[in-house]
Amino acid sequence: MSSNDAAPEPAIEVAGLTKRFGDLAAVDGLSFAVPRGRVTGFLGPNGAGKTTTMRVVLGLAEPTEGVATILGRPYAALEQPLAHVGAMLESTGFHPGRTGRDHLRITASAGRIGLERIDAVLDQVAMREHADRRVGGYSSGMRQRLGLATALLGDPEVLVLDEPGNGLDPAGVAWLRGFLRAFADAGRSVFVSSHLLAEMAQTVDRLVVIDRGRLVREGPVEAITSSVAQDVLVRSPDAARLGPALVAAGATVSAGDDSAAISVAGLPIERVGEIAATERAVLHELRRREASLEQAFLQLTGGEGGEGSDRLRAPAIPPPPKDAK
Amino acid sequence: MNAVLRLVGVEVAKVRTTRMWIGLLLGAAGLAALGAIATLAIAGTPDGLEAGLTPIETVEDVRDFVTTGSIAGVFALVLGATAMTTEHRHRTLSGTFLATPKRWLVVVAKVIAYGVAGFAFGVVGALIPLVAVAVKFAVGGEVVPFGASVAVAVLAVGVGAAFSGAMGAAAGAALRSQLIAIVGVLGWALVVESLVGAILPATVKWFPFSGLATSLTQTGTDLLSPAAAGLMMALYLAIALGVGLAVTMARDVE
Repeated sequence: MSSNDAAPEPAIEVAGLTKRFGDLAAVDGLSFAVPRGRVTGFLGPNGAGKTTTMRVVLGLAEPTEGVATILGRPYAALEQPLAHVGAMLESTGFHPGRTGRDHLRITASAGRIGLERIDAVLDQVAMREHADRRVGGYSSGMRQRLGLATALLGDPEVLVLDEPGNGLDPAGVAWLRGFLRAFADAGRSVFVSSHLLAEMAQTVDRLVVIDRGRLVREGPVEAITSSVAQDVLVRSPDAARLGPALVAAGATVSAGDDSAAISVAGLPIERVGEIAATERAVLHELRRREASLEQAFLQLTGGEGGEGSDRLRAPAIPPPPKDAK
Repeated sequence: MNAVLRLVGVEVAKVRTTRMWIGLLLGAAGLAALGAIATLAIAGTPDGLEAGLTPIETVEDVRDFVTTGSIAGVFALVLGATAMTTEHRHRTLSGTFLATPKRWLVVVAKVIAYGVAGFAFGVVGALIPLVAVAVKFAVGGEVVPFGASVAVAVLAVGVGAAFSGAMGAAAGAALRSQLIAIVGVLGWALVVESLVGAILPATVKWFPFSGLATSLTQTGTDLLSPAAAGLMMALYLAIALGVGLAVTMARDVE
């Protein structure tokens, strides 16, 4: 797949994109690229500008400044766009009085897609048996599947999906993960936003992380998780003695899961081992811990310890009144 | 042109695959039937004569009676007002514009499609009084007087309702709220035109939904010629379409 890195143009390219609503800049000078043949995750806290960016990419909203292109062109300039780009936006709805099949038929006719694709996509999302029911009676998971079927209708090269896992049950999420992987492995491209970090970590190759409309980090998942602080777990009956020695060597030490465990940040694992030897401390465990995607995300977007950490702080909740029944 | 025709078909399919049109058509047909039956019941009776309802005897009487089906135009207007606002209401507009990023094509296709639907509403509305009067004649063992002017009147009622459907779609394209669109077009057609017409009767013939529609089916010194009325309708439609297009092109899709 590395040959795709040399592709002449990315699947999606956003350059200097700004979108203002009055005084508020929902997207502020954002630039990134979504390479072909990869699943690129789009991460950011609520209100970071993910959906706005996707809407601009899809030509549904005009940028205040900058440009966004898909397959080298603005979306509106694509000839037969549904045959190139499949999109599912979180806010997109369906007419509740229309059947799923009629919805697909109308979309296919509007997009000049052959009607034979309808049964194919219904089978792909396992919705054929529900296709002749009105959408008003669908569960949220069924609506989500119909949205995916709509995105797949034109057999597109690029998928733009806004929170596709919402409403899907665990089996549906697992299916989606496998589907996106296979889609990218076939040389096609996926740009997917999600707030489900575990789902992202298992699915995507690359990440674009934004916060408050600005790019925070862009690159392969491993590069992003390894770029944020890692720690070393030390489990030792001599932890109480070892801790101050590590602090003296410049480490930041915090309590671990139990009294015998400490978390050491700011020193490489080799140096921690050397200090333990010097201190003649018995070690039961010495292990480097990679930052999870969630930890990386929180650090990058200021959700933990950063300037925006107050946004995620749990509120103080008083106990229930004693006489409550 | 092919793209417009294809999208007209898509818009007709959107109307056909939901149920709102059935309710509105039943409403139009019901009201036309009610009016026709009530008129037939009293036309020529002392009460009817007092109200100016002479008996229906000639081809000209039948022709005028058929135009009572114009009430269907009001329902066509409401249907038209839902053309774009239904997409806002059910958040389907982003899907529509993803399939057709050239938004003007969508708006033009909607105006044509709802014009076609309006024409069908108008023809149904005009056929109901025609059938009612034919039945009345048949019951008396006679054949209803019929001529080309009656057929023209049926088509003219259809054209008037087509204008209403297209105007509703064009003007409705400028609005997001379905409720405001429906109340707005009904308020204009039924309240504003009546009130202003009562105060300034000379202006009535220029009003899109009262004066112009009537000018298509009737003649009189206080009315425009059918050709002039048709031109005025085209002008009104062009203005409404211009506003609807400008708003649709400029606005971000939610």
